[in-house]
Amino acid sequence: MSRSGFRQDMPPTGGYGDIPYKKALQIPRLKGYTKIAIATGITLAGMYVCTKQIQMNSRLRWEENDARLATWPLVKAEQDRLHLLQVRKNRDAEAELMKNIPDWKVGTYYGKPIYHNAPENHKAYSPDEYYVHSDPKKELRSYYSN
Amino acid sequence: MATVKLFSASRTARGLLRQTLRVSSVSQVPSRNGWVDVSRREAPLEAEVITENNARVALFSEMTKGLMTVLGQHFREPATINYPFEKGPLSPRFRGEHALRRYPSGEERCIACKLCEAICPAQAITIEAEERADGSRRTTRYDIDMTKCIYCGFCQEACPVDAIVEGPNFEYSTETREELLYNKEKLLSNGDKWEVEIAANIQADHLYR
Amino acid sequence: MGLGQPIADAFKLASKGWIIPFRSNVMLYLFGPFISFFISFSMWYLLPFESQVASFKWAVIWFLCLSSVNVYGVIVSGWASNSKYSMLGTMRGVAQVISYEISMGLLMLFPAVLGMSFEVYEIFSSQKWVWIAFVSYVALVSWSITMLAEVQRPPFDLAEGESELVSGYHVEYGGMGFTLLFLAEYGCLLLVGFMLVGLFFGALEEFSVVFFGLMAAWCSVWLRASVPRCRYDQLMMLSWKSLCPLGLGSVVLAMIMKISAGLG
Repeated sequence: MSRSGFRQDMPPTGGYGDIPYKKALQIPRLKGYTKIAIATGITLAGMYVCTKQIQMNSRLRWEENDARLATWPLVKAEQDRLHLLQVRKNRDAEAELMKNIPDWKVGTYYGKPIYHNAPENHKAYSPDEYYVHSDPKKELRSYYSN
Repeated sequence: MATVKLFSASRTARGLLRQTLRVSSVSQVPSRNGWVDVSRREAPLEAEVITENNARVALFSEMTKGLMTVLGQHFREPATINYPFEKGPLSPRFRGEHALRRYPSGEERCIACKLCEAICPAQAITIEAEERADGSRRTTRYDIDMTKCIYCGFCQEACPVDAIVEGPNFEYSTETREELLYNKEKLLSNGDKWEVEIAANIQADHLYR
Repeated sequence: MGLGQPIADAFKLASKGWIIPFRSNVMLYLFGPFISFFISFSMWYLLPFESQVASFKWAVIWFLCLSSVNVYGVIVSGWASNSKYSMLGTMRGVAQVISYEISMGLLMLFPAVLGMSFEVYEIFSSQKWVWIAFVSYVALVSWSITMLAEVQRPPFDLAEGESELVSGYHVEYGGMGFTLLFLAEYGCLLLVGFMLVGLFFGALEEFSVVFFGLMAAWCSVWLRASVPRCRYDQLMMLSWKSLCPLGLGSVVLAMIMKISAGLG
């Protein structure tokens, strides 16, 4: 047998072990009452804390809203100021461009004034016209600052 | 053994019962005393049992148990092997690719007795023989059509000189059909290639041959 | 390491030929996978990351809308490919998705009411003290089941049903069409994992969101390995008789909690 060093594949001495069909890990079984008590306890605790969480969140939201309301006039005024600065720049650019044309009236569109008019038809110009002379970086900064 | 005894005991008991019934009753009602109730039992209406069932349903216990079983199997060693790199065990009697063996002197073993050709049930072997210059009888042609072969192993059992054998090789797939029509040259080269394994297998099995 | 395998698979799929079935509605046939893919990936907009580029106030409604529209991918691709198997898969898939949408809407209101927002990131970041999963594990489990059915993953993959329909509504698709449908399905699956984390396990770090989202997606694979496919009547019964009442109950519970928070 051992001349060529061959070993016949055989079952191990004493035979194969049992097939492990049983559960290896025996988890201690809780009783139904205990299980339900634990689940209910976690749920009730969660509900209580969640109620408190809702109160906290709504308080935070109130606070945030109050802060926004308090700063709103300032932000709005600053926006208006930036807007007017830009409008002035546009008007100056137009005057610079059209200075060689004798009968040109700066700030009018077919004879209708663009900048000096009643509030209801204040914005007679398109956004393109408004932004065309603006600095993109500055505009982005003013957009994200409010 | 115990189960068999129990079974026969119950059968004899039932037979006795049936005999007595046959004596006593006129109409032959087959007795049905071997039944088992497999229908679902009604759970008893006790608070503890009801709570147990409700907890099982509401907390998805059975689902969790099944999932955990799968997870346990997931971390166990897989039963599969990484085939081209690992191979399963082979018996020394495994009947794989054919090979023609040689004597240690280099002389081929086959004496062209044509027993293998005669016994081959699929008629896959074709042999032509002639006398050689030194007067010994050798094959001039030894073909095996591997597409016909059914790997029954009769050829190697029939061979009186252990010339044709089925070696342990099972990985000889080809891309064309023609490559599977083995001739003598191919079979002899197989024998040279696999001689060590074939010799070991024959040695391992010699007690049973 | 088989990490290169999926990438190679994707390239192989993309390079494969695409046979258009005889007498199919070609335009719709080609359009169906596109709808599925586009819609499932436009839902990725809602991921609860702090660094997300755009925040969207009505993200939950957006999710509801898109997952409803997602049915059209199934309808179109199944109907246009002119195959009985596709059609049957489509019918099943559509009925299933539409049934589960109801409980999805109801169950989605639960975290939305408790987080006091329709924005996924707001709901996510409102759970600083306790996860909504702890408030009602029933809502969590119902939501997971609903989402599994909504993306038609096992055990609710009746639209796919390899054993009786060959591959459901994408039998007739090969090559890039199949790739798109496949990617749409898995994109939806991953998204659903992230939504689960966003709605029920909030206020995590970004890394944890990714980790738990992928874990949730892994859980669906785990379920596929352990649970057999359910019968069609069981599927419908689960939707209409179990999940809808549970969803309604969850909404009522959320309302009660909200009102008691306002009182206390």
